[in-house]
Amino acid sequence: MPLNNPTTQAGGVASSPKVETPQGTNLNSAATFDEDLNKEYVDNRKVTISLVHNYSNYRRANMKVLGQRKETIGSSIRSCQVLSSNAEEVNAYFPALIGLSPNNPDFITRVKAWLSNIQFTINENDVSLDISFVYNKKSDYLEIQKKEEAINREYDKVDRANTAAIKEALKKKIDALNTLESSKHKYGHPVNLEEYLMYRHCLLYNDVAKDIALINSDPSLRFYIKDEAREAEKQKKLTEQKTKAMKNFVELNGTTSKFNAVYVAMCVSRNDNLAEALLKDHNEKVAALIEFVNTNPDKFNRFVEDKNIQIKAFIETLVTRGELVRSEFNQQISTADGTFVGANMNEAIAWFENPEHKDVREAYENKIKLF
Amino acid sequence: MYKLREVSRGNYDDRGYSNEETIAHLMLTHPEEINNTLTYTYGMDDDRFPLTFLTEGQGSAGVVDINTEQWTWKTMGRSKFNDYVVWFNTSNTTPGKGGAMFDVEFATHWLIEQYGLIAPDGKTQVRIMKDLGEGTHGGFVYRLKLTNPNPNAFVAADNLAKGKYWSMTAPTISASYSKGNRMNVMGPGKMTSQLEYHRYSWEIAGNISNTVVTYEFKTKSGGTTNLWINEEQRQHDIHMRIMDEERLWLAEYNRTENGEVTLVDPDNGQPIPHTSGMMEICREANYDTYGERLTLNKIERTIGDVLDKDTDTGSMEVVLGVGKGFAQDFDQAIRDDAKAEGFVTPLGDKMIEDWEGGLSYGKYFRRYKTVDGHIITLKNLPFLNHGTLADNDKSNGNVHPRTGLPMCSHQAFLLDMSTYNGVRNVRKVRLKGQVYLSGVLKGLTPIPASWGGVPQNSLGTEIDMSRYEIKNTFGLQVNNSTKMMQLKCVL
Repeated sequence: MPLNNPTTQAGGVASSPKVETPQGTNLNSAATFDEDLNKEYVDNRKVTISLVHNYSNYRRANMKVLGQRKETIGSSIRSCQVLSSNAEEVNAYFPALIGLSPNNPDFITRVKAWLSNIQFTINENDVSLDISFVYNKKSDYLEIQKKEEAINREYDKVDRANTAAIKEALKKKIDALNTLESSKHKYGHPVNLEEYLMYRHCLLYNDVAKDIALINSDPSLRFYIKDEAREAEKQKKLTEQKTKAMKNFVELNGTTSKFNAVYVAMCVSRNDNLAEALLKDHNEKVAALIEFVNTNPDKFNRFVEDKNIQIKAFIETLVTRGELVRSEFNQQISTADGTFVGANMNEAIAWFENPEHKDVREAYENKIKLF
Repeated sequence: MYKLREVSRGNYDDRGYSNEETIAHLMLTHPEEINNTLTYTYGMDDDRFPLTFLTEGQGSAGVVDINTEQWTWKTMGRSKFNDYVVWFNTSNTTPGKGGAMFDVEFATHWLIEQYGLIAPDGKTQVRIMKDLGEGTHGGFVYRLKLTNPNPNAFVAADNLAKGKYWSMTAPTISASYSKGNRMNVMGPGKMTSQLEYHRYSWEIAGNISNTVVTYEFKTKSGGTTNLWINEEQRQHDIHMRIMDEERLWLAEYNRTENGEVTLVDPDNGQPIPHTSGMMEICREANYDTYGERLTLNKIERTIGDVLDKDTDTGSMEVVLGVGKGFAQDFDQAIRDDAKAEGFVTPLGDKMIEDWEGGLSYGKYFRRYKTVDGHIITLKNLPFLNHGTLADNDKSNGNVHPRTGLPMCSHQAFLLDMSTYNGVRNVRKVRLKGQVYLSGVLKGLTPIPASWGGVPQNSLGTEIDMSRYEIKNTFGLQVNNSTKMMQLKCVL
């Protein structure tokens, strides 16, 4: 059976063909799609295992003699148990590795021994694992890919500032990924069985960080794993966001009021002292925003695209100037004389946009101009 | 001393009284010596202090007293003959074909012009034609030429992948007019570590020192003698020794590359140095993990390989310090292998024995001889089963799913306790004059005789209490850690 050559579609980022045929589409073309879906497909993927250079002070102090660390990925209880728990999968993969058929009474003992003997050394350099998978049918690949993307999307929702939440989400992600991976034997086989199983082991091995955000919070992490295709996709998205942010920045620079509003939003998001930040001259504000565009292009774009950004900045400025008061214990905003404005920012926006409060708003706007 | 005896008359246990006086005198005049004696005595009878016993407990051979907080020592590694690729121009898909020379960047300047190289495939051989000096990828570039005269031969790309090691062979030259080359010389490296300081305070109040609990204490000769300290003194000693022993294992070096110690005592702003303990030293030398089962294959590929690392000869004294969990795994690993080899009957004969008219079941493997003749002998490390780490594991539910033992008991440390050139490989380092200091802050509270002879009428505090203060210093020195290793079962 001829293989597809998805060299430009590595990592499952291939443009998925539409299965549903839109009206007016050539029926021959649809037939070709259907035919393609039943063909064998190779999902070419690589992951990289890298060392976390989280050296002890003892090694750092004696680096000239001890040199860089040579680390070994050994076995673990969880990995042994999980990877030997799916009988169908074990029967599909392990006979070729241990040279015994599943009918042999020693089969499972030898499987466990193989998993217990894992010893994978990583020197100073990264090690790439070929986790490519040959699917008997492309439709199976698309189905698996869809499920994997859903798992990743769910994980991407986690609050990146909360390490505990990341750990919890990661645990769920690994469980889900492992379940998905252990079902793949029904649809094909790995191109490089040993490297694929090593990847599966790394997913379950606690010393391998699956998210670099955790590296500094856990001294036991010695390695981290990178899915090169996913990283490339992330990088691509980041570049798109940066390009968009640069375009937005050029446009923003021409509108003083919106420029100031975005500047205020940036200061608030970074917990800067807004009163001090507002005293800076225009050049300093521009420099700060340029830095923000480079480091947080997605946030910058969100601020620019927020239709309420100016009124939000207006409210934040009033709070900073003491004209409005934000409760210490909740998000409630009221005027200095105690008049209730809103339980949160959204309600405060609605309050200021209410025509009944037009006079009050104008009075505040005039007051702010005096600063 | 006499007045102290008078004050306490009738309240002390007379069986321990005279001994207490002796010890009190010694504690006052030779606290360090007494401490060493105690270390030896405790080490003889209590296996909770293996490392203290193997260092300080061995007398002057097991310790080194120094004048400064930090110390250095020289080490010499094994000769090195290989280096790894950091860059090769991958657009050249047939390097060396037709006798063409090709450039490869290696990590260091260790390789020498005129020498030969063997590729990772173990077959392809090249000669270093030119040393081109520093490269642009952080390494050094060498111009190579295949030694195979076949014009169609070339070097397979995977031999030139980043990270692949090539090893040197002898330099080959023309019959005449050849120029000279050079030699790599390995100088000794210098390593460093530092001491740490400990303080143990024991405060008493009321009339507690007049209640003495006695117990029988084993002597070095195996007999028993009347006890000389009270129960509190014993607990204090044991507590201090457990803490010190565990510290020798658990300490983690904390001086940064810039020479700073960032851990500072908030009471006085002074830095608090920490030494490098045995766990850190073992872990930094060689570390591996195992899972559900320990296999003989794993033992061979980890511990066996480490033992084979060094070409040193002479009396090697290597022990495998283990927790109870690891001892069980080790036994199981060898039994599994014995069964796989068909040694079921002889194994059964050893396991099942006659015993007083009944049967006894159970004999366990505690020793293994590698194919190279190295003998691995297990030594129990009780702190891995009952120490503070074990307590934590039990309390936090971090237990082995099969044995129920704390996870930390399923680990082993390969300890090279050999003597090289007359110097013990592992020693306890201490600061001269600060090895072991003790003192009494005396208030109105009567003090036990074992604290030493403090004049009865002088007070050091107006508060109605008395305190016994101990300060000691130590660090751990391992001259050669290449044969040290940590092998640990992980969840």
